[in-house]
Amino acid sequence: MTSLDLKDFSLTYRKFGATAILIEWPQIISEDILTDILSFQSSIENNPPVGLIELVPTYASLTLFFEEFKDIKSITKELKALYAARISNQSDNKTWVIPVCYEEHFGIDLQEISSSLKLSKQEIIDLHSSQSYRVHFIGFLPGFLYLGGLNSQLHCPRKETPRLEIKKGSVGIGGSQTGIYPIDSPGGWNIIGSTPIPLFDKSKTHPWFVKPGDTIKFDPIDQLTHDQIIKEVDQGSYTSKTDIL
Amino acid sequence: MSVIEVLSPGLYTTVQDKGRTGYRAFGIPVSGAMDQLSADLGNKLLGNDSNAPVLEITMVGPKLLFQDNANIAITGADLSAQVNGKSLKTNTIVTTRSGDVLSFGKLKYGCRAYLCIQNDFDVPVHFGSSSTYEKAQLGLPVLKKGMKLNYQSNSILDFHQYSRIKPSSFLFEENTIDVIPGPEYNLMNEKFLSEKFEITQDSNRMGYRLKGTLSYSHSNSILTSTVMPGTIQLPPSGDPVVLMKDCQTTGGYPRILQVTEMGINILAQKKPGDKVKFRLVDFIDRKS
Repeated sequence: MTSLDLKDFSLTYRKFGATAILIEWPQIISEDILTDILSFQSSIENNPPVGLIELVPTYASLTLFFEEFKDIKSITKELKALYAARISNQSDNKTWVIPVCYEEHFGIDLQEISSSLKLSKQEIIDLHSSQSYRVHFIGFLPGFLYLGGLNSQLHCPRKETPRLEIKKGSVGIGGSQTGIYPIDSPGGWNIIGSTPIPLFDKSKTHPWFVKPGDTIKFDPIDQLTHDQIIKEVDQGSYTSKTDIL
Repeated sequence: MSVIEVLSPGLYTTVQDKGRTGYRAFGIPVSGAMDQLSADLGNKLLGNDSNAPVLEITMVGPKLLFQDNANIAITGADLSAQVNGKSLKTNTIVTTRSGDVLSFGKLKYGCRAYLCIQNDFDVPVHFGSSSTYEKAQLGLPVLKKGMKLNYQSNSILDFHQYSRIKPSSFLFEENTIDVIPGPEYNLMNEKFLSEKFEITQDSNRMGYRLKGTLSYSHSNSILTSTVMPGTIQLPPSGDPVVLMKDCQTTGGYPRILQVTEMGINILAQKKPGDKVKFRLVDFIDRKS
């Protein structure tokens, strides 16, 4: 792809803390902005300014952490030139199929949201698993994917009292978002299922197979398949499935 | 390999170094010593690498049995360190012999002490750091009774026993925390900077929740964006949260202020019930 696909946004560059630069896009969630952030990020990674340690993308921002700072003005100038010269890098984005067991044992809030959303459990499962979700960024918890694209029919408020512990692998809906809990954590989302595949593996140097820009699809499985995959994951024989479109 | 046996774990004792670099984009917190200055001083005394893992001891100290000799240094908060019940000098190198029991007593000042050991603890490393991050089980788990800590024993003892450092008293006495504007500084009520905030019980390595005398409640939210240790978030409740070393990498509350690195060290030595004020400085980090 070429830069013709990229829309130019008006960005702001600000110092954040003693040694970081916060670059901000218009503060909305959009796939155009996601593509633009990832394109800018890869152009920075290919031509890193001196002292750059790491980059953190979010919905509409990119934060650059430096070892130390000398001259913010010259770095900003360098970054603006990189932005002008960026090229679209969507070519290596993958679509991942994440198996999810929506059965009662895991989908502990399905009944409740089925009555509040006035949809049958099966309709909720169908709506949730027929959609594709773009990964915007990872944050909040190690390996927690911020996904865009939840069907508005499935939007529902978080639980009034958050649970003290939600099991890792739990798939939930909170407000207009859906996501997977990568580790055991307290949380207020409505839990509708569970995936047997790990989204966070501390034994690996590169802990996740999913990256921002990728697409996620949920594939309904029964409990037998769920337990079988758990076994395969434990034995190290499970391989994540990509769906080449 | 030499061994330290944990006879009792203390309130919250973890292993910390300078933390994880390069993994924020995966949602992994930075972690690392809350009071990096005191941890650094201990490692410097012992001639260790500045990134050497140390034990971070919080308010109530552990009881540790040294099965072999070791050169150690204790810095940071004063928790009345003792060896075999006899009071022990801090901020200097001390040699413990095989069979010695290191214990702690009353908290005299500060909140966090650092136990540094010559030649380093031999502890698990995850993503380039041995810092404990309890939530994702990274690094060595929080100390528990019966746990064994490995370290490389040193055959040369007492080799610079006269090395001493003078701890910076302002680290423990200062109640004014230097801050610079955060990305949503414009959403801050001016009165915030003349307020005295109390550090609540709901404060830990992830963040300090503060309580002021005035209400700062609001209805502003931001699109989830980057946060870092030292970011002061203002949730709608109006009770600010200063994010500390185990903080999440992104958040959706306005980031009104950013605590300087030295300010984080000072806060790390404050405990629930202590009061602090914020002082807006320019982008210059005050050094000790």
